[in-house]
Amino acid sequence: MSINRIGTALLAAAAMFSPALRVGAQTKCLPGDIEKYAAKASSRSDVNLDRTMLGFAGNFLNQKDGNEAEAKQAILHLNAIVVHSYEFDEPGAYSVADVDGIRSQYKGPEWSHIVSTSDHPRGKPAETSDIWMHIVDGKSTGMVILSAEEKELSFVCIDGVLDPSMLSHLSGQFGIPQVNAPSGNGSRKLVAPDDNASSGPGNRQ
Amino acid sequence: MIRALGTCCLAALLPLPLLHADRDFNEAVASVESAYHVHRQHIPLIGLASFCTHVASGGAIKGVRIAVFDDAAKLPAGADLAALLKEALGSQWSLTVETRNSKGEQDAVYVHPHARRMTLLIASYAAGELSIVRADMDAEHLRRWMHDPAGHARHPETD
Repeated sequence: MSINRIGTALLAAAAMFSPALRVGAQTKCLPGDIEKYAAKASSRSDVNLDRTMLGFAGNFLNQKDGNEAEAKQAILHLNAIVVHSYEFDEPGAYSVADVDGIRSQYKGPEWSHIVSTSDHPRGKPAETSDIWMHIVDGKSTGMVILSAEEKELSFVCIDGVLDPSMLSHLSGQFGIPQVNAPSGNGSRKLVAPDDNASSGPGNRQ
Repeated sequence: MIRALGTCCLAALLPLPLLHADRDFNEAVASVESAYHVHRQHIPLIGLASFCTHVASGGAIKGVRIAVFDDAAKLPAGADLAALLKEALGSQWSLTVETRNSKGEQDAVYVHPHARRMTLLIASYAAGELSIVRADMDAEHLRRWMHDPAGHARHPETD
């Protein structure tokens, strides 16, 4: 018997209920060819929180803590949060064309490309983040976040009515990566969503 | 006869979700043993450990059951713990977290929500060791316990 293993499992159980939970429910907003990246990944994490799970997870958010109270309010209107995160051993597991192919899946009239950032660490390929909002009859009914780094690719799909301002409260919780507002200094820049063909994740493949 | 009646009364006092979760845990363990040709190790005093967990968590966690398997140094190629457990557990359980890497290590967290409680079943395979843990958790108690473990253990009914 391994005490370490049991300890690890119990810690995982505790982490499951942490507000910083890494969370995946099948939803319509994920890219259709997502599994092809999974096949190349050295490590993958999938989190699915459906409405029931979100409601339950909301019990762990402290109503007296400002940010957690806002997050609790935000998840009341959500149907699901799905996160797929892939890590690769080497750069080049996916190409600029791959990322552009993903972006092209969110070009319909109901999708609004609200954020596109490109970060250029010195000597490394660009890191990009994109956020799309799904809008029906003027209301946001979902959101997709794509984050592409040198050796990591992450998708987040938030299904449900969501005020964009609430994203900052959900950021860093339920497996949603920390979404930082572009600072404007250094090499990070906010680019117009239409320009993203030139802001791919660098010289991959 | 008296003993049988006593057993029936005790069984009736057990929460139904726990009985179901017990059955599901046993099914999960049996399916792993059968699919991967491994055997569950006997863990002495696990019942006592479960009780201590219940007390120490101020009632937030109960019904902890653990299965650790020997002979699990190498699972068959293509082994998929999450898929195997899905068949064993049934539709009331949701796969909430799944991780895996190129070394074959993998974790799957299944959740069965009840009204105020949630039963978790965590299967983990790493470094040649395979284990399954089940625990029943109360959201409100657990939140209070996480924010103030010592205080909540002393006064479980106060925030």
